[in-house]
Amino acid sequence: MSLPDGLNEPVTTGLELAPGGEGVSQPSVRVASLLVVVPAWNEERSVAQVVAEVRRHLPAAQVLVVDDGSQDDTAATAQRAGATVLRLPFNLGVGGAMRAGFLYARDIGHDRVVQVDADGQHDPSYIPALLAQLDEGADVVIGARFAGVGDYRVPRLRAVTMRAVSRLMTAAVGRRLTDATSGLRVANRRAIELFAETYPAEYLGDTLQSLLIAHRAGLEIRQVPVAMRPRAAGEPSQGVLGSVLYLSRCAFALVVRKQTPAERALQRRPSAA
Amino acid sequence: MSLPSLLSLLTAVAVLVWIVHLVRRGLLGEHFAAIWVAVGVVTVVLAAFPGLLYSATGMLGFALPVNLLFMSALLVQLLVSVHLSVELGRRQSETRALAEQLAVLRLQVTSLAEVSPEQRIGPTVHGVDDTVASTVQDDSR
Repeated sequence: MSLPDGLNEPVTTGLELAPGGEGVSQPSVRVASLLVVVPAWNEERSVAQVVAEVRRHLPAAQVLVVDDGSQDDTAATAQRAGATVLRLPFNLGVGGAMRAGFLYARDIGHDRVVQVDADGQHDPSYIPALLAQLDEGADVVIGARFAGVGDYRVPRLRAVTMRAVSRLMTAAVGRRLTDATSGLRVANRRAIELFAETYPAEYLGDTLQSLLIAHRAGLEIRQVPVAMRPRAAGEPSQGVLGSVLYLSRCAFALVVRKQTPAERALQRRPSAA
Repeated sequence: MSLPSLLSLLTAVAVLVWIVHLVRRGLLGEHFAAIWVAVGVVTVVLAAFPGLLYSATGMLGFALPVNLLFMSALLVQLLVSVHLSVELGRRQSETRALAEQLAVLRLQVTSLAEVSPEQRIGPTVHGVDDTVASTVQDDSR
């Protein structure tokens, strides 16, 4: 899975590697240690604004838009807005886009990765609060709704479903998680190395299952309350049948799926834990 | 030999010949060919010596030979299709990994190509020195 070292040479020479790497430390030239990954699939109408907003709030960060096989002008729009663009040859879903982002972060040597949705529902002004939790010992931090901040009116049925998922997740991880499917997250170097190998691509894999993988690898997951813009409020389930289906898929993602070979190999390797 | 048993023998031989033909032309990998050759051989043997099926039926306690035949045929089909699903899943995750790594490499190659040699400290340097970053993103070389 990892690239041969020789291939990385021209890219990383003279750059300070992440802590823990035994590379030459040259403080004069540094990689922006913070990488903001924006998975985007046909988001030409919103991606530029998201990139601009992130750059305004985090001027020192590198913004990486992962174009997940878009048919529209997402890649060029993002590039004009000042982002580095990673283009997947075909659509892989959020999980694939994020793993490519983590792979990039791992190879280049970023210390921290922020994930922000390209549809504009996430407010970048919350990112510093999430990053602060990394400094306090967390490995993965989720920007979560329903944790006190923001005003959400959710249909009754949907509220029940989301509460059930939240309970499942809390039980699985041993820590209160009110919004485990949130796509606003930050990860430190340990999590980057884990996710560069194991980020799942299945439905709900990029959200629920990735948290489980992190938990099993001994990483600490926390949440920070955030408000989200109404924009993407229409995700999973509609109606009774939809809710049941959604819940069972969550249960499947949480209970049935066990470790993949890559995860097991990582856990045997003490450096990753 | 009765006409039905002659027909089934011919069919079984034809299937076996077809599989061997596919393997020889390289269309069927060795791995899968082994399964199908085994299935083909068993079919040919049973078609040639139906007595084997009858005695097996008695030994295993089946009421009718067709029951044994159909059950084992279904079982083989089931195993083969589960096996195929597993292989398909493996190919999918390999393709996914290739696509992701291709995307990262393509970005690294293009940013290397866009930076002139004297500027080549590292095409992904951002934040500290913004001129380098903007050179990377600029299409005009």
